[in-house]
Amino acid sequence: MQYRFDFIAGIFISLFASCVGPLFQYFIFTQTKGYPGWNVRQIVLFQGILLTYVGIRDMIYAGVRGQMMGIVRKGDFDRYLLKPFQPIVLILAGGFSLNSIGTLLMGLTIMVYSISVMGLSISILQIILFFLCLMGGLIFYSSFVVLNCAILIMTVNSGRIWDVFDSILKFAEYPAEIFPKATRVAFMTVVPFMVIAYFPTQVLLDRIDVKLFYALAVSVVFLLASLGIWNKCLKRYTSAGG
Amino acid sequence: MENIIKVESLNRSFKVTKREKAGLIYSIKSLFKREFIKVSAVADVSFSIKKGEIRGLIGPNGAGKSTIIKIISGILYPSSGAVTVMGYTPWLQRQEYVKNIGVVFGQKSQLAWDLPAIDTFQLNKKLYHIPDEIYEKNIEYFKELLSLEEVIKKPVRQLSLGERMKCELVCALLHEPPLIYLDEPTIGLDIISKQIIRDFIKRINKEKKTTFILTTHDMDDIEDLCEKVIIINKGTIVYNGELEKLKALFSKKKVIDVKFLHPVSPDTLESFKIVSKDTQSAKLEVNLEETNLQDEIYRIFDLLPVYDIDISSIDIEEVIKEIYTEHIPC
Repeated sequence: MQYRFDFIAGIFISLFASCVGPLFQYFIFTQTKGYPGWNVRQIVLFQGILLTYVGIRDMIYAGVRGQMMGIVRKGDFDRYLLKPFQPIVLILAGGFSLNSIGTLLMGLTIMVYSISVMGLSISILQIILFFLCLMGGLIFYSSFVVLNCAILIMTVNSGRIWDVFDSILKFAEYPAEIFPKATRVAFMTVVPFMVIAYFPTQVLLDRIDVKLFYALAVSVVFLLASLGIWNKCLKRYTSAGG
Repeated sequence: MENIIKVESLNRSFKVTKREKAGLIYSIKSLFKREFIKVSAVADVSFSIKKGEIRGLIGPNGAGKSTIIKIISGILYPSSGAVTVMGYTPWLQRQEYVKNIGVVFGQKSQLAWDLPAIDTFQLNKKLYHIPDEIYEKNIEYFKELLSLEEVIKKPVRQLSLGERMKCELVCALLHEPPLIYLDEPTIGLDIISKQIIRDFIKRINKEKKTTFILTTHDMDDIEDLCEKVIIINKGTIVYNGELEKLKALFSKKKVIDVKFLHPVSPDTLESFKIVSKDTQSAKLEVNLEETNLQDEIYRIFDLLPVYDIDISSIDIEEVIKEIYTEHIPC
């Protein structure tokens, strides 16, 4: 927020850019046979939830990649190691930026709008589960961020690997029903992409699936595993001359 | 006094990639086949430092000074060897250990670039759990001592190097650590700023009994601040002891600076040991163990057209230069 123009421009850009995804989905949906088991309002809700998740995620983590690449290459990572904290916590905390608040607002608007249009009545249990899923999605994403930071420490400059992970995460942007049976189950349990947008939407639509709890548990396992790898990599850090 | 730092047979090597030649073809080649060489940055280094000392760590670029600082401050893992600082093994108990140290890297900033320094101070207050009254007291004290009243409110990127370095020092000292590492704290500063930083270090050392480990290329820093120095070259310690003793080693040598009335031919200078010369002047070295000063000066007046003459002891810069270039073993 130190550069005011950049900040305000960033908000507007994220606001417009975030319209593209839902619009695109809407066209696919209306021009084809759609997704099995989903009507157009439900898909719009799905998109709203996805955008809300992306908005929160980017607010927390959007800055991490650039920051991490800079500090590791120039050896500035040193100063993180001089603070009485886990450096990964400082790195993740340092990525915070309000630029994607536009995405979040757009997501929330679409979400609230579709809930009211569909006249959904939502119980306390559903709200709790919804927030659990949202947390699960963020935890799942955190594991990717931590893993990428670890790879950066080892390879010093590997921005493209980060791209790979970003692409893989696109699996989370579609309802589970579009995938073949085995893949669908795998995405709910082994690599729980579905915890990001699919499960929370299902929760609000009152179509709760027990696999949700697997997904949540596996997300935590992912994070713990990535933290383990991170700690191993820290020993290999070589700093930069000077 | 008890030891605050104890380092025993410390080693650290790095794997470095080697490329034969510059250019696109060679860079593509190195994509497929890379040669690694193992470089030993620190080799079998042992020393200890007492509480309350200001110890200088000097050596040419690439000697391994920064690597040593990075290992004993917990940033890097060593390849082998033992380090104990205040009872901690830095890289293993890093998180606990770093609460008790402060570090300033002259070439890297700890301050948030876009924010005023006071914001970084606030962050450090939170990170180190500094109690309110101690934080306020220290900020006031440093503001007064380094005249930082206005400086700490400006974004760091708008500060001069000297102002920034003062803020870096404050940043490292806020949590009142008993041990501070300064890696080239005066690099790039003007004489006045350097003096302010030195006086500040001396004062903190005196008032708070803080131990300082200091690396620098400026011999004035060393002469002003340190009683003992460690000289490092090519990863090993070549001298460890009193600065005065080091000077004493060379007190038998004098440098005589002679300016000529008119240019002299090189052969007239042949019988002298020349440090440097041009057509109008020459620097001659005299070893008092071999001859005495009087004879030597008579000889100079005898043989050379003297316009001006200046006799001085060999200065510490020369001593260090000799050690760096390995002319003398210590």
